[in-house]
Amino acid sequence: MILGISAYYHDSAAALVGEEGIIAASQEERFTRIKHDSNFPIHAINYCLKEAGVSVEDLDQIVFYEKPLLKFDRLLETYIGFAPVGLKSFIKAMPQWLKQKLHLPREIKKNLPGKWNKPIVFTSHHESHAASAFFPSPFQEAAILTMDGVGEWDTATIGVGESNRIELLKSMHFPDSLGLLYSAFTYFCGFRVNSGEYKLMGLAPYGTPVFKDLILDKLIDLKQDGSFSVNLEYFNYCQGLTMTNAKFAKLFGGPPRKSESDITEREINLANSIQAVTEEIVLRMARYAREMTQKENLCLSGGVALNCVANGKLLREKIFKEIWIQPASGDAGGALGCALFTHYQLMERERTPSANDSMKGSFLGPKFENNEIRSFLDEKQIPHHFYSTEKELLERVVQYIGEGKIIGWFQGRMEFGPRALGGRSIIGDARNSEMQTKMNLSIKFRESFRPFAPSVLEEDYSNFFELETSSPYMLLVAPVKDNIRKELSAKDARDMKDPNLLKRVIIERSSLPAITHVDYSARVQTVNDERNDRYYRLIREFKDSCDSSVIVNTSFNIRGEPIVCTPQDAYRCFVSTDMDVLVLENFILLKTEQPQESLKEKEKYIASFDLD
Amino acid sequence: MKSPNHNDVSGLALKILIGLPLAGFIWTIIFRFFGSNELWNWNILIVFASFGAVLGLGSLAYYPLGISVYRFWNQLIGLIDQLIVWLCLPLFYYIILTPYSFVIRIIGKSKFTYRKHEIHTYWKDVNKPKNSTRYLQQF
Repeated sequence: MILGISAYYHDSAAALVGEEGIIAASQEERFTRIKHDSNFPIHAINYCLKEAGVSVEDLDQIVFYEKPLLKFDRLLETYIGFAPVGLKSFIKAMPQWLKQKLHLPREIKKNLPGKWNKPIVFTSHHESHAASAFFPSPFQEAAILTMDGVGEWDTATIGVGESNRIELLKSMHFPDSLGLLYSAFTYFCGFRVNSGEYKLMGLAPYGTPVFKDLILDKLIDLKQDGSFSVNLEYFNYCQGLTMTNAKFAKLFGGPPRKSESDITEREINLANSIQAVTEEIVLRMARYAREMTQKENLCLSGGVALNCVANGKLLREKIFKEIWIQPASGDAGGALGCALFTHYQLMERERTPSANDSMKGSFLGPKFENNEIRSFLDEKQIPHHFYSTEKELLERVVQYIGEGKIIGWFQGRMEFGPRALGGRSIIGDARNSEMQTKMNLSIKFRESFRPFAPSVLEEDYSNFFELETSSPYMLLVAPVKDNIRKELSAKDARDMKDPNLLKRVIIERSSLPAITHVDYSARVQTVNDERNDRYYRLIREFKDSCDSSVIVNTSFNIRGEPIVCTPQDAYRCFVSTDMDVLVLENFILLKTEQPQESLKEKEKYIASFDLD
Repeated sequence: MKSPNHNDVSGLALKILIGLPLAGFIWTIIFRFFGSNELWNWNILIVFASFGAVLGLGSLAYYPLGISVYRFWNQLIGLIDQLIVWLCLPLFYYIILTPYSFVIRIIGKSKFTYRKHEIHTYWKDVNKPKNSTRYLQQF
């Protein structure tokens, strides 16, 4: 059995791989309740070991997801490239390196929940990403494309996977990074780097790509094969504590937007422009990967692979026959990748791809049984209803969804990766025109412009979306079909130019208004019985009862909070938001029946998480 | 700072009890061989050992004192840490790194120069690993 660890940057995680495939994987943030927690993932490791019923001493290998000394080399070379500028960044970075990151084997062994006397294995950052993309995929052979901010030196790689081996063939090096370029615009538009990139992607469809040519002309030199060089005269991420500099601000007509201030047309158009540039780069890289490897299928990973709008475009371009994207494509997925790499490539285990994939629907986290939930509810004297049969439970939940209620849905194992896929989700009726605004402002406490995603029965997705393949991990954006679209009235067209984004959001664009974004797109999750179990049966029941096989699915958390892990987390989130119903396995809790004192914790709860 | 538990306090107490006399002995040797009068000055060892005995044994015997010693010790370490960060790192940055940086840039070896239109691709070949032992290395 092999334990993979990613830590000390952001999104620490652990994953356990055995003869039977992936056993468990989880991000540390889910246990510590600190979003993007970068500390040693002791809770995640403990969970993985408990899930397998083993101890540290039983493991065959422990693997770390990147090579720290190569990363340190990159840091030093960067400072050498810019000194005497960059002292602040140097002083901020060095203490942690000198005390901790340069002694990783010691740090890992010290923090492990058991004795480990064997060496630690170190794979490279992009090898870990590539492995996490190829080994769980359904392909016997495929091209691999990884793109993220930066690992050691690499920022993007093209490789090839065959049977139980992967090989990286080409790489792009720091500071030329698509991830960092996108993050620079994220920062400039007033969102937090390494977490606000989704917001920028969600903001993009409101604008037009008026800055695209300027970006291509001034900021990067883009080649036909998708590789590019960044003009560092406009950026500060190498040597400073910010992503962009004054020259960048001058180019785009003023200083960066302050966090939480009003979003102007400039930010909206910047978001659209950098999204267009990103898509252009991804498509060119993919074409080059196809040309170089001559493979029919593509595996994607790295933080940029979470850009589902670009993924959707890539799919529609038909450069590859099929595409598979690792659902935990960020650094957390590196823990899984390095463990899989060691299992298949270094230990030479045989690999048989499964028809769907080997990710088990990405449900790799903890599960809580009914008796555990009952103990919690009884101990806290929380009013609840127990349903002994699934049929009764689903009928009742479907009735609530049909009534326009918002449901906290807590079932089975927790998801690995940033998306909630029906294990820890907040769900509602996608036909309800008030759902998006209510969910954004009263449940998630987040920006009004952000879209929600649909979960749709796999057998029905082609009725609603222009999508030619299933999208089980919510990683593809597709247009909604013409037949469910609604024409904009003259008033709607006027409102679409209103600076207040809320006015644009509430315009109904389709018969599924809660999940249709301003550009008639949706980030689709297709749900089937094999992967999604009870969640699939819930939507089937909803279809039988309400004649709709689409529901809204958003992650079970509020802004700045990691997705809930335990029933306790779920209950706290439930009573602190305007959710109407909480479903914990076979238990249903109604907001109207909850004690008043538990509802008073709202302000304190919201304040306990930093806005992201 | 997190509140210390019994193990933290007793661990530090033992370190002080053993470590301070040891430090005193080392300083005694240093003064003997590198000092001006070349005599064994055992007072140094006695002072260090006395401090060690009072603080170490005191911490073991009286837990509230142990907590205070623990907190003081950590604050002292924090202070030393800050001194290193704000004195040594800037000195290293400006005296070692900066001149080297100028040389690298003058001879045109910096990796951070914008190279627009100079080459037809920015993709680089990946060095093939020679053997799997490199996976036991951190570089």
